[in-house]
Amino acid sequence: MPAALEPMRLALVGVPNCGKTALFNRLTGSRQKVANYAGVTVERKEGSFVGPSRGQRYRLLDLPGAYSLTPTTLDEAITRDCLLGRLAGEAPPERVVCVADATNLRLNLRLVLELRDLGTPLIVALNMSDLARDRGFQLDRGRLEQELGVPVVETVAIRDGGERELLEVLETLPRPPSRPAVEWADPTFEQIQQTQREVRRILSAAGYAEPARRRALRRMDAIVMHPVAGPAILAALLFFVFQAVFSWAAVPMSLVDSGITRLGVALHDALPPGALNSLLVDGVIAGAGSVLVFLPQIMILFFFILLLEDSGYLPRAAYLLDRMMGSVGLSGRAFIPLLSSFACAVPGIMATRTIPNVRDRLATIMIAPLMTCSARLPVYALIIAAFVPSQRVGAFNLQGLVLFALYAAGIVAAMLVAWGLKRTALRATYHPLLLELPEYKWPNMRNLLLGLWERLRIFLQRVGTIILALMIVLWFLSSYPAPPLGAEGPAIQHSFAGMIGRALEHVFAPIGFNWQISLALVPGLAAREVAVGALGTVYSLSSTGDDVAATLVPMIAKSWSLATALSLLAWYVFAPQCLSTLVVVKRETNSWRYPLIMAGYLFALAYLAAFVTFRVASALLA
Amino acid sequence: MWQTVVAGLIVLVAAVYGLWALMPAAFRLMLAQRLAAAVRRTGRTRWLVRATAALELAARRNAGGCSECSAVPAEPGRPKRPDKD
Repeated sequence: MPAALEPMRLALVGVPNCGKTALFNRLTGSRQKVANYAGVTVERKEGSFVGPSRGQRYRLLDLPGAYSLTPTTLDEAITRDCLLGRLAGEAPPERVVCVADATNLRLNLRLVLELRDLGTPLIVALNMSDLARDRGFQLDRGRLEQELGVPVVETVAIRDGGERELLEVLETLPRPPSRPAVEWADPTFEQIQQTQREVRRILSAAGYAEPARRRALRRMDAIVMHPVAGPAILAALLFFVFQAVFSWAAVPMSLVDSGITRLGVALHDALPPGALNSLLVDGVIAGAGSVLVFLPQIMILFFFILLLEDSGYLPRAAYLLDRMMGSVGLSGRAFIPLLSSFACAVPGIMATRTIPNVRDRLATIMIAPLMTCSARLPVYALIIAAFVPSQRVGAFNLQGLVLFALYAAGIVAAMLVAWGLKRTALRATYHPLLLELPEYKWPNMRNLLLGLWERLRIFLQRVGTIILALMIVLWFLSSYPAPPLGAEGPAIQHSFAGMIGRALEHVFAPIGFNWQISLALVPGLAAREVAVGALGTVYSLSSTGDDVAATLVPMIAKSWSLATALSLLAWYVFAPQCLSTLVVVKRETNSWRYPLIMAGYLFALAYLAAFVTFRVASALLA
Repeated sequence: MWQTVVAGLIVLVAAVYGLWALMPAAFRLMLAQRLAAAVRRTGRTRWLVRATAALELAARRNAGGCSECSAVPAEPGRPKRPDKD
C-alpha cells in the first residue's frame, strides 16, 4: 500500500479527566478495539476514522491519562513509552493531539510543553471550551497558538460537531515524515520549575484570566493549604470534631441509655423469673443495648466527615498530609485508603488497589488497621466515660481531648510502622501525590442526610444482626452450666464463659485485664464493638439484686482500676482482633502470609503498649 | 420450663446465624449452593425452594463482620459528565 494511502497514526494524549475518551468516541464513533498493552494490564483503545474532506484514513490511539512525561504510575509510563516509540510492536504516532481542559489550562500546559519539546507534530485541542466561555474564562487563542508554536483548536467533545475544527486542521496539515524513536530524559527539579514558569508566562501572554470566583477560591486555598497555616487549620478542625463528639452527644446518649435501662427494667418486671427473662434482660438489652448507646457519637462523627467531604476540603487535607506521609516513605496515594480506614479498615484496604507500586500498596495495607475505625469508638467512649471526668481544660472538654489523643496515637503508630516497613522489608521510591482539587461548595443538606441515614442503617443493621446473635450466644455461654449446689459468687463464674475467661486471664493478667475483659476480647474478634456488648452481658450476669438495672459505665468504673482502663485503651489503639480485616487482607494479597504477619505484629504491639501502659500507670498511681 | 424452651430456640437460631455470617464467604456460598441444589432435586415444597434460593442469593453478598462496607456489591457507577474520561 502506498504510504499516502496508509492510515495515519494519531494519538490522543492528555491529563486524566480532560475529556480525551469523549473526543476519541466523537472522532471514531466509538468504533474501538479494546485490549491490553503487551505484558501489562493497562487498557489500550484503538479506533479508526476517515477525514471528511480528503478521505485520509486515521488510526487513533487513546493513550492513558498522564500529567507529564515523567511517569508516577504504570499508565503514565505506557503513555510516555508509546510516544517515544519504546513499545515493542507499536510504531510511534505520526501526530499527537494533546487534549487540554480549557477550564484548567494551568494544569494541562506542562504536558503540552513537554510534548512540544519532544518534537512530535502536535495539535492542542482546547476541550470543554464552551464550558470555559460560560464560566467566564478569558483567553486569546491566536496568541496562545503563537506562543506555543503549534496549532490550537477548540473542541466540545460531548456535542455533535464539537470535533469539526480539529478535523479541519488535521486535514489541512501535511502528513509529517516518519521519525525514529525519540530520546528523553526525566527532567530535573529545576527543569520542572522552569517549565512551570514558562506555563505561567505563556498563559499571561495569552491573556488567560480565570473568573473572579476561581480567583477567590485560589486565595482561600493559599491560606487553607499554606505549609504552616494549613496543618494548623486541619488540626483545629479535627480537634473541634472530637470535642463535638463528646459534648453534643451527651444529651442524646443519656436519652438512649435511659430508654434502654427502662426497657430492661420493664421486661424484667413483666416476665416471671426464668431463662427467657435473663436472656432478654442480661443478653439482649444489656448486650446489644450497650452498643446502641453510642449511636449519637457515631452519627456526629460521620456528620462532620460527610460535611468535610461534601465541601471539597478532604482532597486538600490529602495534599497537606502528603508531605507527612512522604516523610515516612508512604505514597501520597495512600491518603484516601487510610482516610477510608477511619470508617472501617475493610474498604480502606480495598481502596489500596489505586496504589500502583506493590510495595507501597503492601505498606498501606499493613498500617490501615491502625487508623481508628468507627467500631473502636464505642470502646473508647465507654472507657473514657467511665474513667475520664467530664470537666473542662481551658476551653476544651477533657473527654474530647482524650479521644483526640487516641485518634492521634493511632495515626502516629501507623506512621512509625510505615517508617519501619519502608526502611526494611518494603523499600520503594517515593511517588508524589497528584490530584485535581475540586472547587469548594456549600455541603448539600440532602446528601448529608442521605449519608447519615446510610450510616444509621448500617449501624442498626449490625446491632440487630451479628451483634445481637453473638450477645445471645454469649448469654448462653455465660449462663450454663448452672453453678453446683453450694457454690459461692455469681453463677457466671461457673459457666463456660467463666471458664474461658479464666483460662485467657493467664495470658492477659500481666497487662491488667481481668477475666471479664479477657472474655470480651473473644467475641470482639468478629467486630471490635462487640466487646462492649460482651462486657454489658458479662457484667449484667455478674451483678445481683438491685444492680441488674445499672448501666455498664458505673459498673466498670467500680470494677476496674484506672491502670486497667488505660491499658485497655492502649490495647485498642492497635486492636489486632478483627477477622474481617484479616480476611480482606488475605483476599487482596492472595496470600495468608500478610494477614498472619499483620495479626502477629498488631498483637505484639497491642500487648507491648498495654503492658507498658499498665505497668507505668500502676507505678505512678500506687 | 416454657422459658427454657423458648430461650433454647432463640440461642439455636442465633448460633446458626452467627456461624453463617462469620464463616468464609466462599464456604458460605458453597454451602448455600449445595443446599439449594439439594432442595431443587428432591422437589420439595415451593416455599422451601424459594427460601433456599434466597439463601443462595444472600450468600453471594459480602456478609461478615464489617459494618461499613455495603453488604451488596455496588452497582457500576455512571459518569457524572459524558465528556469525562
